[in-house]
Amino acid sequence: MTAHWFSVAIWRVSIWAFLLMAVLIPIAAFLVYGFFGVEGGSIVHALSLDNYVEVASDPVYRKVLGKTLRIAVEVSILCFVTGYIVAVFINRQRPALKYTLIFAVAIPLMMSYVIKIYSMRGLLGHTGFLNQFLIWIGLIDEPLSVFLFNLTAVRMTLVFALVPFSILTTFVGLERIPDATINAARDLGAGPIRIFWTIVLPLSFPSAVVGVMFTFVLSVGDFLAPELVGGVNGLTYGRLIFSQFGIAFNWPLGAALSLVLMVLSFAVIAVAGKLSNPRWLRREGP
Amino acid sequence: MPKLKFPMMAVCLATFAIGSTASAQEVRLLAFEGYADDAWRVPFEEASGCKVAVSYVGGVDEMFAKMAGSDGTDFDLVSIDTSLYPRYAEAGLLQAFDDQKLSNINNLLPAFQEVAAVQDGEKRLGIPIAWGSQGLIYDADELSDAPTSWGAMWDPENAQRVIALDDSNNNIVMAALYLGFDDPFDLTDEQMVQVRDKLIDLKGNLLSYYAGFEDGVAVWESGAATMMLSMGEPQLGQLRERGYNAVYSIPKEGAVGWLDTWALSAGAGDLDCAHAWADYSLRPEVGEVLNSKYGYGPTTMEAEGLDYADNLVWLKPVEDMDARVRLWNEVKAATK
Amino acid sequence: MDLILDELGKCYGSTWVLKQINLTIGSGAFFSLLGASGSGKTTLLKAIAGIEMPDQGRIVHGETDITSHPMEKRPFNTVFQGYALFPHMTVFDNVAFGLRVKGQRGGVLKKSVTEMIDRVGLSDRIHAFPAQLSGGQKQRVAIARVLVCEPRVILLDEPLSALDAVLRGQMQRFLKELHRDLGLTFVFVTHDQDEAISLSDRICILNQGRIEQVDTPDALYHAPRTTFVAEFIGLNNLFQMDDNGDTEFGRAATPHSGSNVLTIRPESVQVGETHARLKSRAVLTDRRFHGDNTLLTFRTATGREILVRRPGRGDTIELGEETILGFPDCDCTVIPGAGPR
Repeated sequence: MTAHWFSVAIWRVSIWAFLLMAVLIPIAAFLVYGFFGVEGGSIVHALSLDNYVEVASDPVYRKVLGKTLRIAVEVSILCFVTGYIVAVFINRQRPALKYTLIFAVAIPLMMSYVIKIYSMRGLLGHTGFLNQFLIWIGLIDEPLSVFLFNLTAVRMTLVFALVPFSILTTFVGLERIPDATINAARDLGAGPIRIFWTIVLPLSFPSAVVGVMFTFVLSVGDFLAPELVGGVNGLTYGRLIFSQFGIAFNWPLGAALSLVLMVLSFAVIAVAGKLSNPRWLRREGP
Repeated sequence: MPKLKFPMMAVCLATFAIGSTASAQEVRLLAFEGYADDAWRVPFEEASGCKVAVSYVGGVDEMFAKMAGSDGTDFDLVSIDTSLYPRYAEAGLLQAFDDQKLSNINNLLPAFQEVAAVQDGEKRLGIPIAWGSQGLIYDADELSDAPTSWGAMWDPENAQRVIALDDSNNNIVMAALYLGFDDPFDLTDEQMVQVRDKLIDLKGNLLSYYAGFEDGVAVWESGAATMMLSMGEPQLGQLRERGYNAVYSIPKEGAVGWLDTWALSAGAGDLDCAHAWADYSLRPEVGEVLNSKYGYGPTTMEAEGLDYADNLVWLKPVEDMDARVRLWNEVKAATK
Repeated sequence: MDLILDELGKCYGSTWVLKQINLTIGSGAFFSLLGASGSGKTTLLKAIAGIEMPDQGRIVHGETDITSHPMEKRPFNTVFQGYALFPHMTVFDNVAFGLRVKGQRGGVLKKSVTEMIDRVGLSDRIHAFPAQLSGGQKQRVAIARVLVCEPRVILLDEPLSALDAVLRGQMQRFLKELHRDLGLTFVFVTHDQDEAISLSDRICILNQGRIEQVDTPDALYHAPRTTFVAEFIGLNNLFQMDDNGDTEFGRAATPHSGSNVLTIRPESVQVGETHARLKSRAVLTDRRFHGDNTLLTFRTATGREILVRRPGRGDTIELGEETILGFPDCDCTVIPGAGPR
């Protein structure tokens, strides 16, 4: 009895200690660092609001943040829609094929992100597959450079890299809808379109929204895809943060910039959390 | 320099845990590509019994951040150019070599024997290993006239076929040279504004920025570029290997020249191995490979094909690095 | 309008799960499909609902052949096993679903839906979600959702199997009243014979995908036409009878040609004193008290077990005691052509 109580206590303490070390202390460190400054390449540990003032007042940061958010929203919507279509298609297959396809969707998640970006370059580049294909079907005579090094390429790369999250979460939601529920709707006279909008979509949305959350949070903080396929206008907020940490060695300013992104991400996670746990899933009620 | 270790340790817990434990008989290098080629790394390991661990970086700013981030304890030797000594010294990241442990030091050409920038009085802070430049590379098959000025980067005829290194200082110095400013490393506020506008202007012509030697070549290839603000001579060889009729040129305004050295980290672990590696780098066969394979000018022999040293503007410490990074972010954020 | 199943068959792979199903379900009947699990009763209901397409035969409703009609076009509605409510919709929206499909809106819709919810006694739960309802309440929503569409035929797939005994009794009465008030055809799938017998006008007994017998509950009990039915419905005693009418307990009064089976219900067996021609000495081996009756198990000298039901506490006979059992001719049922067992 005592031994049991003791081991439970050890577990609890370890878990809290882990959370403290892995999550809370780094976040606290970020908060604190944001109030420091930099002089001559060294961090000055005097508290001031300068960094936050700079973040709030400098039009460069606002502009880049706006652009980054817009891309992230667009990427999330694209992932949601394409993820949905693919997940619906997969969910309709025979069980054996269904799980093979889902496994195939999950494989790219184990691949290196950088490799994916480089393969996008190979796909979209001057000598890439897309150009060769367009030349082959006779649509163009000369390879085009318009597919790469712009924001469209960034969007495509992010969608390509992140859509598995959407597919997987949506699939889980779709799979959980019992056949009987669909049959009940058909039995009451509903056609496929009505069933999709009134039954399938609302029932799978709580799962799908988790995928949207993943795609948004991952794309809003990304700095590799914009850097590598984004061309001259590929500067995103994540890259700005990177430039403060990795290039300018201005960690305090980087921390202040990160805080903005962190607050935004938490807000999105909170909203997604609400949406993924609607009132109808809960037992307590009116 | 007061340092509050606690939060930093929290952030870098993992890095510290992995990075700071240098095992015996090891030398940890923080370097640019080419400075630890297998051609002499492998024989060195066999001869000295020291293992070589190399971390490559793409730019000087990233390199400084990595050194400063660990107070130098993550690395034993770092390949920095002469302009960076004040910055590293001020941050307390360096220590002097012991000439007693450098048997090949007399292999250095007289011009590199005592470079003022790397001396701290009698103490030797750096060992010159190679020099090079950041010139203009162009595709002679695609351009009818050989460009003689940096102005070619802005020429609308080359629109969307020009690429540039994503690095604050190189771009700013290049633009300053093109604008004809006296000292591209010490710009007035007014000159800074002109440089910024010139660089924003350049974005209209640029296909993309690139992030390192290999990436530059990859972008060149996948974007069908014909001209680049290069990161240095090695890119010429890499492009030629891929079948491009690439030419390396120093425009009439001049180009950045640099002299890279091995500097000893203040946090170095195995000093004997570190000295052994730096000393090995002065062997003639190393200079041979640096020249033939990478196109760098070695410091132990006369350079083959490197006849433009007089046209270079040698890299110096800049007036305000923070301002230059800010300017660069502003340029990159501008829409064009 | 009658619902007619004509030579219906359904196979999965090479196994026929339904074969030669011929049924006429009269308009307004409370019709049960009764069978053990695997008997094909649910498959048959699904075929009627249109969830499964039959591989053979026709389904005719009135004059219309609806075999190829998709389920959304059939004038039937189903109360699913496990209810299959829409979890993201309130009670109101669940019940309104079918009417909204039909294009009803506004006040008319609201009136019919609230009336129906009132009728099933859930007015105070109208804005609750299914997760917040008890099993019985969910059942009522499932029924209301179907009733509000005013279907000609209601299909019920084991609707009460998830409920506890008390609630089950209440719901059975509720269903019976609904059926009487609405005059609709109910097709009711169940594995519970008591439920089927007490609720239905007619019962179809299914066994391994085939119909054993379709009849009133009374006829199924008192005049089973197959040994399967005789053993499946209630408790029964079965004896072999040859073409002379001879059984192991003597010669029966009414000889039938061929080999037949003679059955007698436990409550018709006489104990102690008997004038029956078929009789046997037997020892009491077990006694089970059921409150209003007692079930006695006897063993004859030939080793056969005979079940006997007596009202109340049963006869004053001790375990191990021997007595005479009589099987009166008039209480015996002959199942012709049942063959040797």
